Amino acid sequence: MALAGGVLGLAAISLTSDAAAARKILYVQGKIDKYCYNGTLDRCYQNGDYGARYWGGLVGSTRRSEAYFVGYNGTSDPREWGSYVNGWRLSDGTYTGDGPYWNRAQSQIHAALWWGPDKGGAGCNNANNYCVLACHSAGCYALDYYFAHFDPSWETSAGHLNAYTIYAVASASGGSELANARTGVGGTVKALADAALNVYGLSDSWWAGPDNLWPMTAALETALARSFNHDATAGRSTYHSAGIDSGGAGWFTDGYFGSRNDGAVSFHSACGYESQVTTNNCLDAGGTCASWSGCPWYNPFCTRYCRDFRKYTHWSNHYVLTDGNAYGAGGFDTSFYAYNKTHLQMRGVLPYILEWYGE
Amino acid sequence: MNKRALFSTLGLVLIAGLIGLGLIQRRLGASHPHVHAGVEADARDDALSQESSLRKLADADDETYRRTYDTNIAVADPRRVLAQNASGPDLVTHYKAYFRYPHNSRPLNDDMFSLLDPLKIQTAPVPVFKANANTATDRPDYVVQFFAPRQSITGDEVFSATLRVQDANGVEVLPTIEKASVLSDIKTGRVELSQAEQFEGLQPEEGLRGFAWKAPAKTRPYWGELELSVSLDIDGVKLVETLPFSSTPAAPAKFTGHFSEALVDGSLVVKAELEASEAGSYVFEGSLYQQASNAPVSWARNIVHVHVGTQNIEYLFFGRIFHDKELEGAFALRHVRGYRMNQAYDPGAMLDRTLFMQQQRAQSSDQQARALEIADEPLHQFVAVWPTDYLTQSYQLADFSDKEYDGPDKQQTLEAVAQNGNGVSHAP
Repeated sequence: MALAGGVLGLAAISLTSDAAAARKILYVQGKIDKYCYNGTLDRCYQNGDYGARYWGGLVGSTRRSEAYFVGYNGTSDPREWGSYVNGWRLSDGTYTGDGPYWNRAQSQIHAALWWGPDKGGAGCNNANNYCVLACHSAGCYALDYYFAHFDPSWETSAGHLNAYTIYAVASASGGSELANARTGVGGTVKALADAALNVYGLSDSWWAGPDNLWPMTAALETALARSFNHDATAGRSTYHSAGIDSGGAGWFTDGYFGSRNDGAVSFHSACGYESQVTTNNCLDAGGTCASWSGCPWYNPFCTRYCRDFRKYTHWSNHYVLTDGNAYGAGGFDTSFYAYNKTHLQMRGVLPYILEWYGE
Repeated sequence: MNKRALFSTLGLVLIAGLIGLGLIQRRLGASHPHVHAGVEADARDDALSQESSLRKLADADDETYRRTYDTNIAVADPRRVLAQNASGPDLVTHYKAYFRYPHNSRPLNDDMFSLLDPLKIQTAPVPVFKANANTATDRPDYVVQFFAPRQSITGDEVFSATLRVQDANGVEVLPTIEKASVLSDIKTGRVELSQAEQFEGLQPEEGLRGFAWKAPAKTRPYWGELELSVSLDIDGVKLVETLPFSSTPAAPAKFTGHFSEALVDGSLVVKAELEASEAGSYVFEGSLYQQASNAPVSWARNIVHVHVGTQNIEYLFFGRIFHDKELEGAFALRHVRGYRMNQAYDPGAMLDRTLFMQQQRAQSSDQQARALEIADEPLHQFVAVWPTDYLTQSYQLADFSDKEYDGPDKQQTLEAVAQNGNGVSHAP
C-alpha cells in the first residue's frame, strides 16, 4: 500500500513537473534618479555609467535565470506611456542602441510582459512561462495603474497573460506624504522631506523642491496616486509587505497621528489601504475591538470577542502578508504586521518573501 | 421599631430594590455604571446568555459577510488572511472566489469608501509647526486639511475646495489667505494660471475658507493635473498648501443623458449614450445602488475603444451579484463617468513587436511629431460626470441569473495557478 502510494506520489510529481512552466520573476523598480532598462541585468544608466543597480545583490542572485528587471526612467511619471524613440536617449540628447526604447514605466511593463525573450521581454503570454511580479515603492504604483487599465482585448489577440501575483514591498501605490510636503515651501512641513533626505543621505533632487520637480514626485502626491480605481486589478492579486523603520526620520505621523511609515511611505500606502488613513498597523489590529450595539458595559465578552477588528479597508485583491518570518528576512513585528526595515531596505526583504511563499 | 427591625426592614427594602433594579436593568439593557454584586452576578449570567446568542448572531452575520464579500477576503475578515498565510496565499481558492463575477462588474460594498464617493479628493490632515519646533516629537501647533468634492473638472465646471485650520486643541482657526491661485501641470512648468476666487465655507468640519476656479480658456496650460496653491498666514506662521486636481477644458466626449437598459443573459446592462469628438481608448465607470435602501450593489468598469460620433457605452451589472447580496427592486446608476487615455500609440498594437516596429517606421513625420507632442500632454481627458442618477425599472431577484461567471480567462487562470502557483511548503 505504502509502495503504491509512493509510486502514485512519484507519478504525481512527474506529472506536475511536466506541466510546470518556466518561472520568471519580474522586478519592477521605483523612484530613482537614473534611467534603467528592461532585461535580465539589474543595471541603470546615467552619464555613461551602466554600473548602477536598483535592487542590490540579493534580488535575483540566487535564482539568476528566473530574474527579469523592468526598468524605466525613475524620475518620470509611473503612469506614463512613453513615446517611441529608436534608441536609448543619452544625456547629451543623442540616442544609442537598437530600439525601440520608451523609458516610461507603462510601456516598459507592457513590453516586458508581452514580448518574448527574443524581443527583449519576459514573454508572460507564452503558456510555457509563468510570471511572478515583484515591486518596490513606485514600481507598485506603476503596476497598480497598469492592471487598472488592462484591456481584456490584449489577451484575446496576444494570448492569456500568465502573471497573477504581485509581491509589493514598501508600495507607494497610495502615494507619499513626502511628495505632498515637498511643496510646503513656506512652512515647517518641508522639514519632513529634509528629515528623509538626512536619513537616506540622498541628493537634494530625491524629494525635489518646486523649482526642480520630477514628474515622479508630482505623481506620488497622495491625491493623484489615489485618483484612479485601485480595486480594478484585472484579477491580479497584490500581496503587501510594509517596512516600519522610519530610519530615525521622526516623521510627524509617528507621534501625533498614531501612524507608521518606513521613512518614505505611510502604512496607508505600503499596506494597500483604500483610503488615506492614519494607522499603525497593516491589518489595523492595533485598535480596540469593536463591540456590537446593545452589548452592556459590564459584559466582559464585549471587548473579548471581536468579530471584525479592522477599522479600515484594503483595496480589493490587495492583501497583507502577515507571516514575516521569511528565512533570513528577520525583524518582523507581528503587532504591526510589518518589517523593522526602512523604505530602501525593504528591497532586500523581497527575495526572502519570494522564497518563503514558494515563488 | 427597634434597631434590628429597622435594619431588617431596610435590608429587605434594599434587597427588593436591588432585585427590582436588576429586573429593570435587564429589561432596559443595563446602562447604569453602579450595580450591586448580586445583580452583577445575575447580570453576568444574563450577559453570558446574551453573549451566546450574540455569538450565534455574529457567526451568522459573519457567514453572510463572507458570502457577500467573498471576492474581497482581506476586507471581509483579516483573520482569513492570517489563516491563509499559514500555508501561503492559496491562489486556486482565491481565483475561484474572484471569478464568481467578471472583471468588469464587481461587488460594491459599504466599506469601499474610495468607490462609494469616487469623485472626491482623498486628503489627510497636515501638521504645521511654529519655527524651531522638533517635528519628530513636538505636538503640531496647527493642523491643516483640504476638502474637495471633485477631483476632476471638465469644460466650464468649477473646481472648489475648502481649507480647514485647527489649533492644537482642535479649535477652528481662521487663517489669513495671502494668495490663492491655480498653477499649470508639471509638464508646462507649474506656471501660475490665474487667481482662485475665495468664499467663506459653510461647514466648519470641512473648513471655513473656500476656493473656486474654472478654466478661463481651453488651451494647453489649463489642461492636466493642475494645482491649487494657497499661501496662508496662521497667527504669524506662513506656509503654502497645495492640492492637485485634474482639469479638462476641452471635453473629448460627453454623455447625452439618454439611457436604456436590458436584461442580457440574466445580468443587467445599462447603456449610456455618448457623443465623442475624439476617438481612442476610454475608461468608463459607474456604480449601482438599490434605490429603496441605497445599498451598494456593484461597480462596473470597461475599457472601450470609442469612435468619433454617437454610441452607447454599456455598463454590465452581473446577475450573480444581485443574488449574493439578495437585492431586488429598482436600482440607481450613479457616478456615470469616464476618461480618455491620451496615448501616443495603441498599446494593443504594441503587443506584437515586429508589427509595431513596422507601423512605427511607416509613420509620416507628422505622425511622429504628433506622437512626441502627446508625450508632453496630460495622461487623461475627463468626460463630465453625468450629474444625476439613472433609475432602472424594478426587478425581482428571479430576473437575474445566479450562475457564476465563466469564460476562457477564468479557466486559463485556474489551470495556470493550479499547475504553477506558489505554495511550496515552508515551516509553519
